[in-house]
Amino acid sequence: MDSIETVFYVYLGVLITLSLLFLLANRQLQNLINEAKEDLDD
Amino acid sequence: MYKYIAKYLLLPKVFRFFEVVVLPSLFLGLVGFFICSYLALFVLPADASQQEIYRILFVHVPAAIFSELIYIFMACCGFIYLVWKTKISAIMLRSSISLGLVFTLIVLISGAIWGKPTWGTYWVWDARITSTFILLIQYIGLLALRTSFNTMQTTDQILSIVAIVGAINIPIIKFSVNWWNTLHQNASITFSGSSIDAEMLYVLPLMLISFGFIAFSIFGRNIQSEIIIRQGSSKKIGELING
Repeated sequence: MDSIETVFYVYLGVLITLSLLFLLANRQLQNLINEAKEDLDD
Repeated sequence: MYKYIAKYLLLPKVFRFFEVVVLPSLFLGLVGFFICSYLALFVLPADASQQEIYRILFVHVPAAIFSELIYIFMACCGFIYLVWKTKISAIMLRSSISLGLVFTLIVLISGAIWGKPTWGTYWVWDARITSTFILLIQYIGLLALRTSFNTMQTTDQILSIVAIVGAINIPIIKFSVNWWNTLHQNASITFSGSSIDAEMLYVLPLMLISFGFIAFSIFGRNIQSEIIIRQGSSKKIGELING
């Protein structure tokens, strides 16, 4: 529990969490833009 | 002065500003994070008493600082919105909630993992940890409130009021270790100096800056989404996207 592997996995978890948050925010923006473009094309 | 600032905060200008800066900011943040992680995991020496586990400090402390700073920022945005009714401050408030929530989760989980080998327990209801847990509940509450009302204006007003009232918890988190006897240690870095050795300390501000860049990129994307949601018609959104 107090090994460097534990610390490594904590860092990895932080990186994955922040990356996922960015990807979700990016995806939401892309969805909104795509919806607007589809409406404009119609 | 107000008009001078306001002309830079027009929604299309803000949208285009973040369109330009989000990806470079994310890149800088990730590069900084990798460098700091390498330094923290492989270069810095082990601590005399805590051995390897102290290295969690380099993600725990920046996450804690951001979880509190983001809430203060939200309360300021809420105040500005209530006084001057500026749309951009309401947008900034909404865009910060998910970010603050994630940083609070990181600080609580990393703290629990750090607590097991050093305190002998993952969790204890001491003042610092409990007040940070309350901060997490506040963020969850704000996130739930974001979609709880029919009109955008009512939601913005309620969010602003709740954010301002909830800011009372921030000084409680900060000074809890001084006001009460807690298992959590007192602040290691104060204006009078640091109890952490300089050989280990330099990674902390670098990691803080890296977190800042990553947080700014996520914040930027959230702001862009909020601006699009508020445009109303697809034609306006088209103008916004195409510049």
